[in-house]
Amino acid sequence: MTRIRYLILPILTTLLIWVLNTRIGALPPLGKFLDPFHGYLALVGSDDLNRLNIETPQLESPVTVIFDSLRIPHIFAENDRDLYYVQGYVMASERLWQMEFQTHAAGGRMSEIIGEKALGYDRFQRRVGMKFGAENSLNAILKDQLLSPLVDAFTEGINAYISSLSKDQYPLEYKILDYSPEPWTPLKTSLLLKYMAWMLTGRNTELTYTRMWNKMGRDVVEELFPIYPWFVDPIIPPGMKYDFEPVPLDKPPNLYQSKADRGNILTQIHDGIGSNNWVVSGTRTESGNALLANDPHLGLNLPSIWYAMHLVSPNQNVMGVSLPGAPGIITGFNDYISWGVTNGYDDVMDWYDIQFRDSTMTEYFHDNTWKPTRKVVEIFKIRGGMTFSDTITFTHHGPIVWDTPYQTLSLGEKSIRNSIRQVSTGRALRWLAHDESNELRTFYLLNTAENYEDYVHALEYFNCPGQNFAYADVEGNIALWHAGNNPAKWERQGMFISDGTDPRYDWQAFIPHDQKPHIKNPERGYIGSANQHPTTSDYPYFLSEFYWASFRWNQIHTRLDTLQSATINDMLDIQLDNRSVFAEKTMPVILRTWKNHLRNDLEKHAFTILSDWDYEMDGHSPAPTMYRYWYALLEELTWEDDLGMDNDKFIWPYRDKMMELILTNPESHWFDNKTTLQLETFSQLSQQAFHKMVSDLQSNYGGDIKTDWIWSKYQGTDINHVANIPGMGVLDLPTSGGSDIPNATGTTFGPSWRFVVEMGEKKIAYGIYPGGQSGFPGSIYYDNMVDDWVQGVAYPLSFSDNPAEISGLTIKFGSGK
Amino acid sequence: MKLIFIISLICFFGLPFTAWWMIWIALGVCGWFANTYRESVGIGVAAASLAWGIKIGIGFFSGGSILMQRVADMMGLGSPILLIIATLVLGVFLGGISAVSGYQLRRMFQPPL
Repeated sequence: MTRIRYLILPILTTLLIWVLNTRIGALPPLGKFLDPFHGYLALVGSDDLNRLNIETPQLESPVTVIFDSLRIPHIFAENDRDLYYVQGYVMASERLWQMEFQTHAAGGRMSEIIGEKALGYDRFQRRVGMKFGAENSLNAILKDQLLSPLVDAFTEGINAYISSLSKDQYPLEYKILDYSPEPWTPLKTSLLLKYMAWMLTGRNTELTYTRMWNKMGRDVVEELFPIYPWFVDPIIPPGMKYDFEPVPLDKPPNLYQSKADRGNILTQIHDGIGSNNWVVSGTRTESGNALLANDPHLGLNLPSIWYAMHLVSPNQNVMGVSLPGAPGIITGFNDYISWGVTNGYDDVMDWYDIQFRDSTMTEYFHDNTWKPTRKVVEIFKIRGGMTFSDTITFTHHGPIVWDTPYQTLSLGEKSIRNSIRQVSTGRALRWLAHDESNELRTFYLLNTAENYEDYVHALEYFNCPGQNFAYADVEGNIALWHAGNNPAKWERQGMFISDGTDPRYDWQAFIPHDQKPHIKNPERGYIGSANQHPTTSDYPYFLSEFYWASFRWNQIHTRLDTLQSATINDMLDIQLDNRSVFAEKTMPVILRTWKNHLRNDLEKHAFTILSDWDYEMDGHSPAPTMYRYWYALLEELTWEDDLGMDNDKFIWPYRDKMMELILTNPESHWFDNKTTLQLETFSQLSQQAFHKMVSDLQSNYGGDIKTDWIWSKYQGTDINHVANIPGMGVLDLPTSGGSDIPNATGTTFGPSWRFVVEMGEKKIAYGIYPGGQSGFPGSIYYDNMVDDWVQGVAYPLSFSDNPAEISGLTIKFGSGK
Repeated sequence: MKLIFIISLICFFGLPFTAWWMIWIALGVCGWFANTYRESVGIGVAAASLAWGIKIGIGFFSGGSILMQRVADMMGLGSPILLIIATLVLGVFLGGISAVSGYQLRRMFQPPL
């Protein structure tokens, strides 16, 4: 019996090794992970590009890849099929984990990696129709005889790379999260495009507007959220004639008023996602060549959302950034044309009240008849072996996202992006991204386009997310199309929750391609967009109740107006412009309200600094900190008594409305605080906010304004890892800029790709993004561009269809023939 | 000493081709053949620290310092040196108890005279 005691240690040792082989909570399996032979250290040197030499019969001809000093691959192939095969292979070699993780997130499969706690998030993703939309779009891709073989080649390339990996070589994040890559499929590419569609169109305000209508009247909604605000500087300048016959629409005589009483969560709109693009005609440039500039502002993460590439085959010579997981170039230039994108912000997500026959939700009333619903069972695999099934009810409008009251919580409240959370139970979602579409065809046609007609034709296939495609070519033409398959809507259609029984609220038609807002070679010699209104109110279709205020574009517009012989450096300089138009227009009025009410030396000092401020949101200046802090307090003082504190009642009006009130109606009743007996005006709220701003900043940051309150310390920028893994991001970057100014850099968002090109015979292009080409956190190329991005540097891009003119490390992909 | 060196070499060159936990089984087998408890501890600790230590050293000096810094930050250690120490402590501990486990198992079947 005493010998049994000798078993205790071996059993404990075995148990310990088992524990160290198992992931516990957020920790990786420590033994496996720290083991220097198989764990994270096995990846040292895995970013060595020489490992990419392959011979494969899947290639018809040899392919040459040259990685330049920025580690941008220049791929030279003899046909498009080989080109996309190697694009997939190279992309996977740098970004495999990111590619797969994003598509798992989009398709509602995070529970497979993280476990049950991600189930709510996953259910929401499926219920909102991400997978449904991706499957529909995949059908379009598979039917496309041009694109389908290329997508297959791209997929084969990715899978060839995955197959080449031993378990020890799986990217770091697989080891941390303890799972393995699976074969790539075209559905994953389609999911990635839906992920972008969600990021860029997943915003709606129907419930909050409807609630506001019910509580305060529709006139209040229309006053606070006008379709065309007081300050608009649209993409298509005033004066454009829309002399076409719009699609006839059957409009209901009275707008349906939903009860909207079952919602449970309201949130403010996040102000950060947006972009700038502009083009300058050769008539206004020093070289006589057209210029194009583009900086999409997105959430900033590592690995970066973009991967720079140069693709060359007999059909194309195109360079720019790609989305890891999708073939081709998304924004860039070729021998003939260049294009850049900003988000269109059209409302392509509408909610409908559904009248079900009974609680089984098998029939619903529409167009005076009871129609059958369609039930789809979604199966979720959960890490550890369990499965979960969820039944989603579909109407012809789309899925019923919430079946039961307060389902939001069980659908992962924290994981659901802010503005979507508002729409409550029993309502169907109509979302353009659900439709069969083939955006990849657009990008292929743009990559291979030779002139304006090719560009316009390419955009015909672009469905969702609607984008402003700026265009400049070697002939000196400039243009911009507000592209996307937008529904033709009557005025305010979809602004409030719609009547799901009445077909007049359905999307009756789509705007014909030639009727989409567009402009070519305007007399003023430049065009641009910054997510503002695409048109004046003369445009006959209703596109959206919301666009970002025109502040960014107005400043870019002002700068471009002064340039008669613009250079590429001017374009780069405008991308870094930190001037706040909002501050410039309002500050003189604001200063007058403070001038005779300064209580102490600190307030006098603050006042002096703000009086001398040049309205630049410079990271070294304390003025932007004071200004933005004061503004946030002013918003609270103005709106909280009327509309509630930010997350619980109604959305607050946007900055352009506040500017209108400050400049034109400082005695407005909105400034009166309903909780006090006296009548407040803007002047009083402005003073209250000023006193509190000085006192708060002193208590929180210290009393030395010029060093303690500087903007980069107050705001700064964090670039976190895509999965928020600690240690894998870059934090506290001393940036300048902010929302609503051209250099729209914020705490977690900003210019995700700064790009400028001059479209001469020889292309001169510059680009940079806040990250690095490698997705491997142990590589110097993981974040090597971040510091220069902060400093506003952009790198010259090597571009030629002759490999001899590109210097760098050459890798040969053999065909084995 | 020679035995420990040979065991370490076998572990070093053999481990890349096996599962990560095979080293602990191998050291358990070595412990089985140890003559004393102290010898088994010595074999386990020395072989594990040699095999893991050399591999960690190679990793660090062949460009792994950035990766180690990031992993150290992820684990809240802050410094690659602390990460190396923590890893070595884990390896040495597992090496020691694995070899002693082997030694104990033998004693169960074959008690000392």
